[in-house]
Amino acid sequence: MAFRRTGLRRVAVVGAGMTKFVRRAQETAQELAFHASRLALDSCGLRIQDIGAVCLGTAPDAFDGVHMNGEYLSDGAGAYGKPFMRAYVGGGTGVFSVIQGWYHVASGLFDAVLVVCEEKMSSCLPHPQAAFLTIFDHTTERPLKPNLLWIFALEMNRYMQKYGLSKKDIARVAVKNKRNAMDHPAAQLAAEITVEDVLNSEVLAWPVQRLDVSPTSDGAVAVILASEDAAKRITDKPVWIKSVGWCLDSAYWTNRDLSYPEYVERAARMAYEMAGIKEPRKEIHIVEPYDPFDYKELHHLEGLLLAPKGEAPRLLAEGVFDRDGDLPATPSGGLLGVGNPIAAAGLMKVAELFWQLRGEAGKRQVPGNPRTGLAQAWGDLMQVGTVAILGV
Amino acid sequence: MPLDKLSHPQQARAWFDNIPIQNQYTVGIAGEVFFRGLMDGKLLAAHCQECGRTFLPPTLYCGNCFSTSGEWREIVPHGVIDTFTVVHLDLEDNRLEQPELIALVRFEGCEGGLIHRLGEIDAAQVEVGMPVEVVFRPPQEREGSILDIAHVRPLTKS
Amino acid sequence: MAKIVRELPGLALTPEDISQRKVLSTSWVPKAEYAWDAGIAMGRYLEELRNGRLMGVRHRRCGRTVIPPRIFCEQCFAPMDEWGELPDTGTVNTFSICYVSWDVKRLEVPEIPAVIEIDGTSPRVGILHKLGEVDPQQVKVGMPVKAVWKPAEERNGAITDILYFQPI
Repeated sequence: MAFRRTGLRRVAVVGAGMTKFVRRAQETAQELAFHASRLALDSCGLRIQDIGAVCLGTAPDAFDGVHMNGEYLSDGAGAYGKPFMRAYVGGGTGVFSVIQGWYHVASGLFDAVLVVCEEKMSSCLPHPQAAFLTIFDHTTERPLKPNLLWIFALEMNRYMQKYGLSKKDIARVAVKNKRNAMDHPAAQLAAEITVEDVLNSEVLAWPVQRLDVSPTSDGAVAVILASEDAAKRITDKPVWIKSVGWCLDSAYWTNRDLSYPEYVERAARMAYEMAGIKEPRKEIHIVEPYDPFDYKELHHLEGLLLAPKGEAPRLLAEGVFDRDGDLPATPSGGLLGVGNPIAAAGLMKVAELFWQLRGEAGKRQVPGNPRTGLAQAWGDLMQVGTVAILGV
Repeated sequence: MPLDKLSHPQQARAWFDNIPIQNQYTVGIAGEVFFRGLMDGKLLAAHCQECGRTFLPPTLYCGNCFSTSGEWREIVPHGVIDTFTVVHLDLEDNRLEQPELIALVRFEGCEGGLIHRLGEIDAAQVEVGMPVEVVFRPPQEREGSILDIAHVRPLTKS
Repeated sequence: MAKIVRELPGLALTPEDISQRKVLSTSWVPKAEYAWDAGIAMGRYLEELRNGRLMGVRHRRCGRTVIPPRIFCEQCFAPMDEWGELPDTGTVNTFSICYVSWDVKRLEVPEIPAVIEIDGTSPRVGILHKLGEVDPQQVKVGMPVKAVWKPAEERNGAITDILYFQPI
């Protein structure tokens, strides 16, 4: 792969903060962004004056109902009078914002960067889901009045068909993640549920049922990235960004293999190569794959080469992905349990790795002193994979 | 193929549709105080105790030093026209019979200001630097919106 | 985190908090209407749909035949070479049985959206459409289907000139 391997500075995550994830927040989008940013600064004792640049992520403007939402949010993200940039790759934005912050620091341009992601989906009526109508091709697909659920249901069905999987095999992801979220102070949909609860929940777009899906949410998350010198001054527990990777597939989604996320594999291979990781299954100790739907977590674990194709459900049933399993997956509770304010949800996964790798995840703490973690997000028209590998 | 010519004008067509969503915005934590203030006929600004700046419209946090040490201050609803425009077209490009006067009004000691309609004055008489005052709607018509201010008008000497 | 923050910020509201104006809010209905130019490839695609024909495009170098048509091959990043009429038959690549509308209202009669691999195209190349005249429980991946067209006089050059695909 053609990317630069030398001359880049080491970059660490040194602070993190987040709001609760809720269905409908009273705070404005700016106020949510402020709370998360302020908490991230306070967590590592920095002032806003110490920040060189701000990277912001937020998904389609249609949710917040503010065109140029990045500019609207900038004050709340601490960007007043600073270099500022907004990234947008749909659901992949949360992890991509960290990638963007990483190259601002790795390049040598800035020593400390604040990365903020926010989403206020509740502003969108008649339902936040309606905003997704406009992601489909306006001429060949929108006249069919598609629902966002279609695209997930179609992909899930293809995945099940290809490997002969049952709904039960997949529902365990929802059970695990909602249970993990019971220990998360920001969680919107934490619950003790059973596989039967998932199978008996309302059918939305078969094979997708109510409990297979993450909620719509309002919330914000922020992390602070610093160069090696700065990080060592700020904290004695920096968490290094070992590598990043991202990749985009074709926009003609009906021309792709829907049973396997090729683009996630490409993004992961870039990140593994950059980090010098040869055997991901042994060298990654903790993973936060993107889980807007339960099957997506399995899909992504396979794309990340952390499970053989079609076998993630078997490993899940064996307990490999439990918080105390061999490869804990989504110990935070993920989008299914903590909530899904799109861009903020992806950044929450990076924040989770930060807390886990520092041993500060409280009741969510993965045992065995994990040293390397991977966060992944996914989005656009089901075509982008974004990956960041963190380590101590 | 990239040089394909359209063989019939009908092929040069467009697909018509709309984006059928609506938005409802909460006014937020600072907004709740500011807009309830308007309902009471008051202009409330946020004063940062750390850097001493005062913001109107108010924010939950200081945009400058990012602190939340703010306190609320009622300000005198008299300001000065910083700039103005005379609008002749509506949002759909139709000619307005009665042009609208829109001004940015600054308030002494405050950062920011209000964009609002100018009333009770002819366009030809408006000048930058002109002192103006805020005119509130009658109390029973106020609903916690920026339109609780009917308009601003030249300051009456009293 | 537990050490640093006891209670995270974020005030959750109920719909009634807004409808009963316990908290203030403002509403807006954007008037966002568009005329998207169909362009070269899509313009012809729509025109031929009006004629009851499905058109694809082919790139000789990579040998791919794809639908919907486009003027360039996104994999080779070079212009496509030729147009070709495709049969209006195909196989179901995947499908869903959907009980909610685009704005999340419950549907009495479910819709069956599907990705249909059109015969004569390269492997995995399909289009999004719906299935009809079939019991949802009988739909299978791999099922052969054929387009059901609107009567010629009702077609207007749109993907909806095909009403749905039906099992053969």
